[in-house]
Amino acid sequence: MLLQQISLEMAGVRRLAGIDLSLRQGRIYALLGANGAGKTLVLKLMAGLLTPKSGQVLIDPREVHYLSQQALFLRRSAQENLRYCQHLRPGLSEALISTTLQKFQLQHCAHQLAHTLSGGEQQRLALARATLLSPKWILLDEPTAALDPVATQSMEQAMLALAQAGTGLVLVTHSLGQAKRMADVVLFLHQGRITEQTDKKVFFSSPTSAEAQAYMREELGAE
Amino acid sequence: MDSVWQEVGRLLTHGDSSLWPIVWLSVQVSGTAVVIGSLIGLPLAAWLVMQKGAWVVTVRSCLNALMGFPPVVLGLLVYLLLSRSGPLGHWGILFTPSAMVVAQVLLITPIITALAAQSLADEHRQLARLLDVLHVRGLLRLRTLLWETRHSLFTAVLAGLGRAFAEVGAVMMVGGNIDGATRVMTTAIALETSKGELATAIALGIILLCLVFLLNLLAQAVRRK
Repeated sequence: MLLQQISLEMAGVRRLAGIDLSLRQGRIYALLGANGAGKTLVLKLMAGLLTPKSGQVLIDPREVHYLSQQALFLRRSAQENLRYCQHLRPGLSEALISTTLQKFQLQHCAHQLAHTLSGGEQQRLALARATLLSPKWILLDEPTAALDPVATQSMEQAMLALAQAGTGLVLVTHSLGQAKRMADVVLFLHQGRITEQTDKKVFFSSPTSAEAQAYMREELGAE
Repeated sequence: MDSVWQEVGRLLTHGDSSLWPIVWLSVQVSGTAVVIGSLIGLPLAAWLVMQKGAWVVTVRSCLNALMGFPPVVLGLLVYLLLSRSGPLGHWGILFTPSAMVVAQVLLITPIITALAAQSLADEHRQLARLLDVLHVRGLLRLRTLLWETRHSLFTAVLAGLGRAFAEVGAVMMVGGNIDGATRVMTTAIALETSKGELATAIALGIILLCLVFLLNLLAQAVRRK
């Protein structure tokens, strides 16, 4: 996936500028930055949900799945949420749906309405549905923000398995611990600009930009 | 007055050969009108909700205004359309149940459409992001929206049916209230009251009230679900 010289304006205000990214499938990219830096906007651009003012995103939006919060049919059961994919991917078998429910540890709540599931189960269900659509990229917007440690671990395992299977993941998170555990590459966004785009180890040992250093100090202090 | 209530009791419990055909015709006319009104109104509402632009607001405002369209004026318009010298006079359906269905369809379609559009708009606000993310477009998007809103839509349809059952002015004008042909509950109540036949009017009124009450109970049950 390539983002070339992207800039984005909303209501006349420049929100993103000069975004250049080249991302490879099968890797996990952690998108870090303070609130309002533009992380979610970058994900929405990648998913084709926003159109840049200039520059281009070189990927077919149908190959990207954006996993936001509240990404389920809440009045359908877990199984029915997965079955909806049969409209989008004809030929999707019941057997695969059943296997996916098991793989994401959701078989016990297959017939439960989605709004009655726990936060962790809802997130796993949304991820399970994403995998049924076989996108090349899954974009995750703070997928574990409201989850307890056990649910977070379960979600992280599912994400790692997807990356190992070749899916590219872009993960927006405020947890430096999670970025450290999960990411291969860290993208640091400050006031609409990418100021760091580097290997995880390099980022966490010696961030080069002053903004990233300040962000790390604040987040580590908060953690 | 006691004898009137005794007669009402007799009519309702033992039945009357002239009463039940009137009730049955009411159910047939209003039921047909609601089916046609729903087939037009529900997809129209869903389509409207998915459109963008200032004209959508104008169309929805017009629909809301049509909800309050005076039935007698509507009856007059349909009468003029269907009368022998009118543009649709060659259909030859004036003073038949078909004309009553036409009037009721015109009366309740805006009601069903406007109520459905409101429910669909609320649902679409919540679902739009999910459907965008899943790249759901066109007919599948419309079908999904209708299915997810089905309980509220059912309530809108029941509201249309209740309105159709209770309608008197328009069906009187285009049906003619002909005994054994176009007489329905509301027009029969008006006629029997004017003749002083209060027992029949009251018996029909009770049946009509029961039907409307049942519809409301059904709507509430669906809403709770």
